[in-house]
Amino acid sequence: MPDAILKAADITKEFGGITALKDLSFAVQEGAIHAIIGPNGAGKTTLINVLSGFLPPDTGTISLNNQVITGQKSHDIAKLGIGRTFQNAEIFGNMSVLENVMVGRHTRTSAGLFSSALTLPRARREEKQIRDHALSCLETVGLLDLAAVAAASIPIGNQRLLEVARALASEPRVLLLDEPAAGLNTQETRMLAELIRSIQQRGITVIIVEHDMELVMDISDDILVINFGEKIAVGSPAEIQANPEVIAVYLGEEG
Amino acid sequence: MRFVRNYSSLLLFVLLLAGIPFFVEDPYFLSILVFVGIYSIATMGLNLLMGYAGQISLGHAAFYAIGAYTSGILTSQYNVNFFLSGGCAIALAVVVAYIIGIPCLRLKGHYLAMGTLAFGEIVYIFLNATVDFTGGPSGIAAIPEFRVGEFFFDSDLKFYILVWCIFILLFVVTRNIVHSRMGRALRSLHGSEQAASAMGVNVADLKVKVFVLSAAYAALAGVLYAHFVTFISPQTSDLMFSIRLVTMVVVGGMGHLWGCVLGSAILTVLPEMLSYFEDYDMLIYGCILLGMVMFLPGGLTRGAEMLYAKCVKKAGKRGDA
Amino acid sequence: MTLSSQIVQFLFTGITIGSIYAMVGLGFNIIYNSTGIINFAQGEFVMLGGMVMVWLTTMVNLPMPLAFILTVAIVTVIGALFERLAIYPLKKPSVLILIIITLAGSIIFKGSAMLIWGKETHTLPHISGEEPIEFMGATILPQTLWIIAVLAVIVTLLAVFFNFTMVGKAMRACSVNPTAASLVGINVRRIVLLSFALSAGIGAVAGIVFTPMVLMEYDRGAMLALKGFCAAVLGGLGNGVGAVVAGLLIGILESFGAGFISSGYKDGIALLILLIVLIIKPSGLFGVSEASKLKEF
Repeated sequence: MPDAILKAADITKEFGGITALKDLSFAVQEGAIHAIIGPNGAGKTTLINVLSGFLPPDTGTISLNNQVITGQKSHDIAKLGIGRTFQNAEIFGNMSVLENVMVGRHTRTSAGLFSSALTLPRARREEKQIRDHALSCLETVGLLDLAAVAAASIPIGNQRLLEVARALASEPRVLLLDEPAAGLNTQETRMLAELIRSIQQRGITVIIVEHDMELVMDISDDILVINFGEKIAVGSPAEIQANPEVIAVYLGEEG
Repeated sequence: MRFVRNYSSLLLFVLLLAGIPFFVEDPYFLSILVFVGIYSIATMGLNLLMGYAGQISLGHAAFYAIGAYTSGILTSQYNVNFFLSGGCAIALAVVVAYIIGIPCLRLKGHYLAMGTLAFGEIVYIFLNATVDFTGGPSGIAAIPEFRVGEFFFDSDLKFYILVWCIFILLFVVTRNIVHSRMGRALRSLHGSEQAASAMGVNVADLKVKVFVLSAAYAALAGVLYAHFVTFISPQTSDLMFSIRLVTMVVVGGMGHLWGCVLGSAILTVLPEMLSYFEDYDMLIYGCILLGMVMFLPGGLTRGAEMLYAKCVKKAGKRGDA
Repeated sequence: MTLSSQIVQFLFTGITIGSIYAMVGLGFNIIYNSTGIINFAQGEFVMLGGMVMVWLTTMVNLPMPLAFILTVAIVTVIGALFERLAIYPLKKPSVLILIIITLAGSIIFKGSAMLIWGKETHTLPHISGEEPIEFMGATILPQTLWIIAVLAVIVTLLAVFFNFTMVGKAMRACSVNPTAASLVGINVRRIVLLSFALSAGIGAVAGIVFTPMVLMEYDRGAMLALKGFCAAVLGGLGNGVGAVVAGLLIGILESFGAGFISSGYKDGIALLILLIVLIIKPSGLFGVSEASKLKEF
């Protein structure tokens, strides 16, 4: 059994008296696809934001590869190897598709203002590497044809793929996907599932927050269910589907 | 070959600049072109901040003034060497920009605008109030003309060459920055600060850096202004001048490198051509600014590009038929 | 003059100008709360209020009360028109664009005022004479009391409006969560329009009561906007009570600074306060870090 790459211990987060996450602890196995599910308002996106350093937790610790990362800034956490996408596809609308992905290489490159300004040979070499790597990431998600197109003009399904490519460009060890299937049609969702599996095969651990249960049950190795910020259940898809408490939560939501 | 392809528009521009003095005898016209060059340098920096990083400064006149006054005072009263005085002027602007930028840029959107507006007013008040030091409202006269060793830049033509050489140097540098890793990071701030941060871009740090850089451009422009006009008063750096710089960037095209030249040229030549401009300047600048952001937010350069693309398309269609 | 009477004198001068800053700060907050916009033209509404009032009373020779009502009405309409013509047509504008738009608006107002009323300063008669009142050794003009009274009335009316009327409650709902507000049937666009009209109206009132004390000219707006913004930020952006307290505080500090240090740096004091607040505590004196929760009056 491989080790846990990401561990969260007793995470609590409150917003002005409302508890979004409460004493949440869980571990993600290296190389797994780990889903986080729960009804609306369960605290899933808050959890993603806490894991990626966008929100500091009130209490608790998060560790990546046994190194505590709680309290670090989001851009530093990105550098440590946690990549993420956003629920409402935060692409850079003022840039081309390729340039979006090239920004993803930011943490893995180093040219500063000065060496870029003078286009030192090192900066030029690096620039070529950035471009080549970005193109290969676009190829992975199947957007190579759109490389030169303005990112703002591509449909939402492609924007989600673009976000994945951009995150991949930073060579993350853990990739957080926040509702990547929202707004996708059935065929696009199927391709997304393929993509997530291929990401897993590259040795990247995937944490996915998703409402599409079919997708979740299909691809996940482990599932964490939360409701009102608390852990309800954790286990394999089969275990989760048979868990009476989980069923109650979901039936409760629908009823 | 790649050099020619990458820099074709710049080469054309250099040819144009080099040709102008052969056809234009009138020193008045050349002096206007000197001003266009000076403003282009200032707006190029402001464009990095506004057009690329999506932040706004309403106090760039203050950095311009810091540049002009520092170099003016050092050379006229303390006989300091030009390169040293220019260096001091830019260094001072950089330090001040850091002090202003760090608190304002930690916060979002409006704070930088208001913070720089307040800063600009403080500098303006300071320049008017410290009569012993800055000459107060009457300013500083008899600032020496720029010279290197024994070579004096004492004619409009010589200054024209100087200013535009500096511009071209800066243009190449700026162009490199824009097309680099840091340039992309800058633009990513404009696109989505959240996503930029998730990609490992240190948002606050980069904003301060670009703000400081743009202040340095403004200060350099101020230095050139002081030694060209040989006179500086607080009037040359009031709030309206900050707004004028912003308008130049908007008119030329935010986020477009050539925009700064186009915007500066139009808004420098236009007032010279329209004699009644003086009284109406606020109204005209206001209307231009409002009209541009509402109807052509990409500025004239983007507008021209769109027009060109449309024409090409139309011509293509005709060709097909 | 003894020191104590001097202090009383400065205090009243400070409260007078502080009241104006408070009114401008309130105007900022109203628009900020419903739209998230900082309206750079806020100070111009004050200038317009003063100028239109001067024009109506001295050129058109209307009686004071009628001129007052008309002035407020005219400036309110200008504020509403500004929103409809310049802000309303934009689809999802960025903060940068919004700043440029309101900035452009402010210089258009300023430039028009210069063309219409010239560059010279204008004045208005005091509402109830210029016979000073003696108070603890200091002399106070009746207009000071009028200004304080007007501020009190505005604060009271706003409190009633935001807490007890449907429209006011709707505006508060919008400030907390525009999406949710529109889901329960509140017309958010109309609320935005209303907020511009309302803060233009408050600006006009401020301009009318302020002009007799200080004279009015076309380019007063920018500085008033800055001072009002200082008040809004120091009080915690979006916090109405905070803006009033902070406005008075800034006015008092400024008046003491001008009296005891130098009047040349008078305007610098408020701006320095603004920069210091931004550096030390950007959420303001009364703001907590989650200031959005306190956006009510």
